[in-house]
Amino acid sequence: MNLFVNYFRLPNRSTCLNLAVARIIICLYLIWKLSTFPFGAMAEFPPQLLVSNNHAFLAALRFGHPALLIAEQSLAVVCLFFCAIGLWTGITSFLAGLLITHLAGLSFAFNADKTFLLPAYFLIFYGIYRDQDLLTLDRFRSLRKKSQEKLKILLGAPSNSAPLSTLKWLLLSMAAIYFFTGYAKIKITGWNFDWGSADSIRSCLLHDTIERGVVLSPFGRWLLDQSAVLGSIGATTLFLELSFLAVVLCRLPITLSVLGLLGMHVGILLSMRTNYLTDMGFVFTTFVAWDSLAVRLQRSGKLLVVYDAKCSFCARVLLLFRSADVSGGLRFIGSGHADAPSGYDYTSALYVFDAEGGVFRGYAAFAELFRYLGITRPLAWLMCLGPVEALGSRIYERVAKNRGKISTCGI
Amino acid sequence: MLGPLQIIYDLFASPDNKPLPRVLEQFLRHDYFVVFWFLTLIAFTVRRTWVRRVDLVFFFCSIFAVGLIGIKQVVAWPFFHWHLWARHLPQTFTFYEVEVEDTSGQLLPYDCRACLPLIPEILRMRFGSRMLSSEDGEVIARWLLERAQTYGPELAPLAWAGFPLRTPGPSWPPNHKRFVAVLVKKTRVELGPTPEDSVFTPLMEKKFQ
Repeated sequence: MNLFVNYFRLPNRSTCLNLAVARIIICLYLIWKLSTFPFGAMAEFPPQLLVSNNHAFLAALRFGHPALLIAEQSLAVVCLFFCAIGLWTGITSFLAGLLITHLAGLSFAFNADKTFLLPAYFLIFYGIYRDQDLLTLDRFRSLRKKSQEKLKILLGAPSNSAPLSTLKWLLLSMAAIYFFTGYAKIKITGWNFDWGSADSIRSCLLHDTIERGVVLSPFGRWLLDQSAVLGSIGATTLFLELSFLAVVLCRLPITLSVLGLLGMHVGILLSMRTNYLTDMGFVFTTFVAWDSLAVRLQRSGKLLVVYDAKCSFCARVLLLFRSADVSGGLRFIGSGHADAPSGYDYTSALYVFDAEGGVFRGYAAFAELFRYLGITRPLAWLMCLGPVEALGSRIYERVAKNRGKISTCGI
Repeated sequence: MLGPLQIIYDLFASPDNKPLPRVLEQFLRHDYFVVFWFLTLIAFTVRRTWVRRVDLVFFFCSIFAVGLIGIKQVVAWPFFHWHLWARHLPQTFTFYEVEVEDTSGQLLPYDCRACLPLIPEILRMRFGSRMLSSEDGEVIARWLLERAQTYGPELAPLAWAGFPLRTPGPSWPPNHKRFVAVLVKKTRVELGPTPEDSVFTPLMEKKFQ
């Protein structure tokens, strides 16, 4: 199994699960980073501290008005929250991307060590190709327009291939940035590979320590005496950075390259105590083959899901599960179907039947669906905790009784 | 192997000390960011394949142009990733130190948590250099001192825990006293095999009160 997916090699997957997971990871990461980044404090910096002030858009940064920047920051966080849950993804991904690149301009102006740009690129690509993400509340809302028959057909249709253009273009952006990092290293030394020599890497370690005024880490100090190791590190770094773009474009598996680059960031963290790992690591997790992982975690055997055939609300909810079912082990049938086991009141609740004869009703049926999908197993475990289960069951019964009021429903 | 890369660079890039063509510089300075987001907005709203392709072509032309040409006087924001760029690392270089003096005359390295989100090397290299070489030195020093006095006792651990891309440099002890002056030092260093073997030569020192 390839741990990471080269989307130039495999642009289509069986479901859009990877895209939905990537959306959630990037949005939560940005919420964390943005909400703890002191943009407001930077507004108090005097203009004399600017490193770069030659962009028109910086004029809108309102020096001396931290409240405006904090408001901008808060709006970006709110947009990211809605994007994470998949609601109004078009406007929220656009606004979040715009606000983040604008706020990051301030960071750039002071040369503070943060760009937020790669996650912002994700938001741009995601917004452009948002219709490829079927695991969103937007999709659930858009299905209101579909007829009962159409929903029934969608639930029963076999899995189509899902193009994930967002991840494809994000991968290209990331590979390009690594390539140009290596390119800059050979350019800066006069078009040769001297940057990768042991002396050069030793200089990197010493420069960093002296300029920051910190004590070298024990690992960094050990490295100073190991010329062969330093030379290998330099050569490997150049190789990894320059080759990643070629690996991506030649449609080769990227797992080794990605692990190598992550290892490089771990090495930088241990030797120079400079942490690029968190940021690049989060972006790399978007290329993990979450769908393959889900197949491994998914329970063997099939589940039969029987829903009220007259309830479009039920069908729309189940379509989200259908979109997350990587192995195609879920079979959805309406209450009037000949294969639906008799003796159950399908108008009152959803029913799930497993291959071992287990029957799950209502809230328990949803917990079973989450458990079956594998990747959402922790959610199923959470749903089965005593108080959560008690509360969840009550909410389920209430929603099931009033689903006609909540949505267009045949009952 | 490097020939084609060099040819591409020579074709597109002008030497670092030569200004960009005026039209291009004006575009990058004033309009690029707006044009980029305007095109992106169109790609978000007009759901046609060719529109998306145009936006993607513009996006990747930008990222590749910035990468090939390198760091110029004006950056095509939002395409710039300085944390991944190479640095020129000579064996002999100058560096700056910024310290604060408390009421008892004790000198402490400036704790960058007092002026987050700046990182130690930016504080030392950029600000130290400006304080010694430009007439803004007094303004910057006053600001740093005020910041030290205001933010010193209440350095927010939560914000710091969430922020760092880099680990912090030297920090003040929790029971530090009030600060009265900022000291900037410029030193030349000739690198040896270890920090202890390097040769440090003080060049300049200035105290701001």
